[in-house]
Formats: sequence, C-alpha cells, structure tokens
Amino acid sequence: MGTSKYRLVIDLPREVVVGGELKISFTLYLDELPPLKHYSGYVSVTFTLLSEDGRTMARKTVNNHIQDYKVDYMYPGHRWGPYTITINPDYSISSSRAQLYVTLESEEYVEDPLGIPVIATRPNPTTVPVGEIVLVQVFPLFETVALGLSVAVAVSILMYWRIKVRKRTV
Amino acid sequence: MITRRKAVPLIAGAAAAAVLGSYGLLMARNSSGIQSRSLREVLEEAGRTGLSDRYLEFLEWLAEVSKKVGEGREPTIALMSESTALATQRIERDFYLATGINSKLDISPYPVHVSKTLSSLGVGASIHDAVAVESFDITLYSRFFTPIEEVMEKFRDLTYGRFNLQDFNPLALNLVGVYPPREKVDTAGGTVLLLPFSSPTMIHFYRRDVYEQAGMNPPEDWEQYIEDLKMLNKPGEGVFATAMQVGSDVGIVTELNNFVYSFGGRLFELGDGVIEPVMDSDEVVEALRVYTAIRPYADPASISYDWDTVATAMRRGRIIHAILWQDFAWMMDDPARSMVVNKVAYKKNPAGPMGSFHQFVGDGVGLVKNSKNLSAAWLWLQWATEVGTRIMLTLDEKSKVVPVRMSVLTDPSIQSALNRHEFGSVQVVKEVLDSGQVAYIPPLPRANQVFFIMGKYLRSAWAGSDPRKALKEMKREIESIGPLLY
Repeated sequence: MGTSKYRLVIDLPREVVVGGELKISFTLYLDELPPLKHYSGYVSVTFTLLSEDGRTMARKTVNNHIQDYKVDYMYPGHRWGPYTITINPDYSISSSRAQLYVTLESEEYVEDPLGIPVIATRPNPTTVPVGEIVLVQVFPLFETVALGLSVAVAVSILMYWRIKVRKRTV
Repeated sequence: MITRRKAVPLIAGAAAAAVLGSYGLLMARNSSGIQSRSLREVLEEAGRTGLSDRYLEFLEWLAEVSKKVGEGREPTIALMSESTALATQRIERDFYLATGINSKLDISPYPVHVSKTLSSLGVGASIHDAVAVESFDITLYSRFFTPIEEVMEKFRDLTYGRFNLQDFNPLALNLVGVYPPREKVDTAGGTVLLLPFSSPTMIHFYRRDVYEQAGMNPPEDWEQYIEDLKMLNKPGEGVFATAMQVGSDVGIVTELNNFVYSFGGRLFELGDGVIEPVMDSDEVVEALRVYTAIRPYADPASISYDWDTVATAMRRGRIIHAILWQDFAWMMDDPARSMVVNKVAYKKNPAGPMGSFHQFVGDGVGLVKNSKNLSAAWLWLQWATEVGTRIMLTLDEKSKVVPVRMSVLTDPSIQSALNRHEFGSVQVVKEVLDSGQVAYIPPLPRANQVFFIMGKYLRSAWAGSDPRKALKEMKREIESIGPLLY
C-alpha cells in the first residue's frame, strides 16, 4: 500500500556512569502515510542496550496505549513526545561501551466514512542502531576524597621532608 | 622562604584543591555543554526555513512570554480529523520549538471526538484544555468553556499585541465564535466562546474538462443543473451525473439546506432562547422537491453515501457534479488520490429563486474552564489562529484552508495564490463569505437526536414519499422531543 515514514529524534548521553540510570529523551514524528491509509493507531518504540559482546544490558518498550504516553490516533504530521524514559542497565555485564538500538512497530489503519477502522496493516518492525554510549567508571565521592587525601598526605610528607632537609643543609 | 608553619596550610589547601578538582573534572565529563542558539537557528535546524518576518516576530514573542508559564505546560488540544486540524498539526512543531510547551494534539474522527470530549467534560475530568466544536454542537459544550474575552483580560501579559477579535471573519466569528450566535453581523450580544478554526462551506464541484469538451458553460441555477444532470448521466459507461449524501443524517440535512435557503426557506428559526423547527413551509417543500428530482441522475449508491464517499466518487472520476465541502478540493488535484487531477473546477452553487446559497458549518476552538494548563492552551490557540500560521495553512497544498483571519487576505502570497487554478475553491468560499450567502443550521440542543429524525424523513422523501407529508411529520416528531432550548 506504499511506504510510511516515521522519524525518531533521540537525545542520548554520550556517557553514562556505571551504576547510574540512563535517561533517554525521544520524539517520534509520523511524517507520512501512504495515501490510502488514514492514521496509525498503535506505535511501540523499544530501546535495547547491548554490551560490546552482544549481551542485552537493558530493554524498555513504550507504546501509545500506556496512560502516560496515550494518544488514540496518529495522523500524518503527529508529534509523539518528547518523552524521557529511564533505563537501568544491568552493569553486572562487563563492558566499557554499549550500543543502543531502537525498534519501531506500528499498526496503520484505513477508516470507513464514519471513522471506524476497517483495515489494519502491520508494517514490518524496523530496528536501527541509535548510537554508542561509553560506560564510565567513576570514583564515587568517598573514594575520590579518600584517594585525594592519601595523595595529599603523601605530598605533605614529601614536602615536609624536603623543607627539613633544606633547613639542615642551610 | 617557605617555613614549616607556612607550608602546612599551603599543602593542605593544595590537597583540598586537588581533591575537589579531580572530582569536578570527573563530573564535568558527564555533563553536556549548554548551547545558546537563536530561535531562527532552532527552526532552521528543524527544517523550518523561509518563514515570514511577521510569523517569526510572533514566534519570538511566544518564546519570550512562554517563560512566564510555570505550571501547566502540557496542554491537550482536542481537534477533529479534518483537513485544517491535520494541516495545523503538520506545522505545530513551530509552537513547541518556540515555547518548549509540550502541547499534545488529540485528533479524532468527528463522532469519536464528540463522544470523547463530552464524556470527559461532563464528569469534570480536566483531560482536554482546548476543544474544537462544530457550530451546531456548541449548545452541548457552552457551559464548559471560558469566554475568550475573559481569558484575554485574565492573561493580558500573555495576549499578543496584534491579536484582535475584529480581525476574524465576521461571519465565522458571529456564527461560530459567539454564543448565542449572531445571525446578522451587526447584531449585538453574546460572548465569544470559540475562536473560529475552520470554515467548512459547501460549493459546487464540477468536471471542467467535460464542460470544455462539450463547449458548454456550467449550470447557473437548479433548473439548468437538473437539465445538465439528465444529459451527463451515463450509468452504462460507469459515470453518473452526480452523487448525494443521503446515507448520512448530517450529510443529507446540510446538503438539502443549500436548496432550502436558495428557495427562501429555513429549517429552523433562532428565537429567544429557543430554536423553532419551521421546515414545513412551502419554500422548504419546493426545495425538497427539487432536491429529490436529482435522484434519477445520481449514483444509486448515494443511499449509503456521506461527504467522504461523494468526494471519493468525484476524485475517482465516477461523477461529474457534486455539491460538496470545500475541504475536499485539495484531494482532487493530488495525483496519489485523484484520477481527475486538474480536471475539477469550483463555483458557487446553482441558484434558486432567492439566489445562490452555501451551507456553512464552521468550527471553533474553546478553552476549557477547569483547565490546568489554561495559559499554555491560550498561547497555543493564539498560535493556531495567528495570521502567519493561517497564511501557511491556506498555502498548504494538502488542505487549502479558507482563511478565518481577514489580514491573511491582504498578504501578497495569498493574493497571488487566489488567482491560480489550484486555489479556485478558496477563492469561491472567500466570495461566498464576503457576500454572506450562507445557509446555516443553528446550534441544536440534542443535535444527534434531531439529525436522526431529519435524516429518516428526508431519506423517505428521497425514496419517493411526498415531500410535504415527510416535512410535516418530521416537524411533529422534532416537536415531540420537547422545546429546543439553548
């Protein structure tokens, strides 16, 4: 029946701290439907985070039937979003970077003159890579302070020792 | 010289700086930089180029004042899935990019829209902040809306300096915006409950190529119209002279109303707080006789047709004539939908004894009283009806929206477009609205019930029963449901 065009705009952090949440903002635009189709009645967007060796670190799906994302009809031109979702990756899977993929599924309808949907079509789901996220090992505040202090103590001892040595030389 | 006493605080300070510095450095890596870009750049990045200075000036104003909207930045706007709403949606990202207000457009087919919005408003749920309403349905919605004048007063600092109610088409404002409606432009009274959003008007669609080949002019009155239908009806070749909206209650009533006004009749009269059914007059009887005389030359499937299906018959080249809503004109020249591209022309409806009249059912958007996003919805509504926005909607090839703001017509790009064949339908409606030659149905309480009764009797007349008897019985049954108070 023709080609549909959806455009997904995603705001993705370049890095995420290991142990932290990953926040992704997205907006889906339905740019075009084939002439015979009236609207999209169901869209689902699935975010999948894969480790370097291809294991699934996280997966989250939202669709337009969920209350917070609800909209009944998406006619061409519709902007669905922006929405921000939070993903908690499984950090027990060791990886220094992760690849985010997104899968879009939809049901598109032709309606009769009274607006009753009569033909539903389900185009093949499409999965595309979105981008890479670096997983950063950050020292938490306590460890950072402890490390900094131990370095400071070591430097103090060193400087104190050098001052003492210089005095003795003088 | 560094003494031991001086060295200790220096070393401690350096250590603290090192600690904080290292932590800050690590955190900075995880935060993105803030970029400052102008609104024009933001719009250009989104592919919105070539916008007029006036429109950009308005968007810049929006960008500035929208900062004052604290709470309630997610207004939900309920619209009907008709060409104006869909065209508005196609450029709605401008509003979002300028304001950051995450407006949600809830667009549904008319029956779903009415049932969804009335059910939520009726129980006091503040789901929708602004709702589109057909002019004949306003009685059902009036108690839920805040008058626009009150909103303008309440949100003076959020009202654009160039926003002016007087700039709306007077006919659209008086019949759609004002409640109770003012049937005469110079009448006083009523408050503005809706801002006119679209001006659906029925005009005459006909196959220009057929008339050019035959060396004929299109019909000027109903008598000529029926003569032409007789000549052009060729069912054996798969072409009917016309198709009618007999399958839909609203369709058959609005289609007939073009005839009724042209014969000097009225279906209803707007009294003081009550709408009187007056459809049993001689003028309406005569109008219905002429309307039903078309039946032998119409696609027999008209018994199941509404406006959509008549438009489909026209764009597939199965009929030569249609009295149809201008909103469908864009489809006729869309190669993806039409088999008659550049073959359809538009004109005023054929005339009756009182002249040529055109059914007008404008719709408008009202602001919901108990809205939690009222100020954001008010900004959205100003954007949707702003002159710059309306110029783009008129020029949109997939809608060709008739301007509801008078200033749109003074824009050079619009003046130039109106001289082109592709915008012929807009030009016809403009002339109709300028002349005031509109047929109109007042805002009916229990509209669904009344239209159902009317549809039943009109179909019976169309099928062959006596028009006078059908109209008398129709009136009696409408009266039996009680006074139509508004």
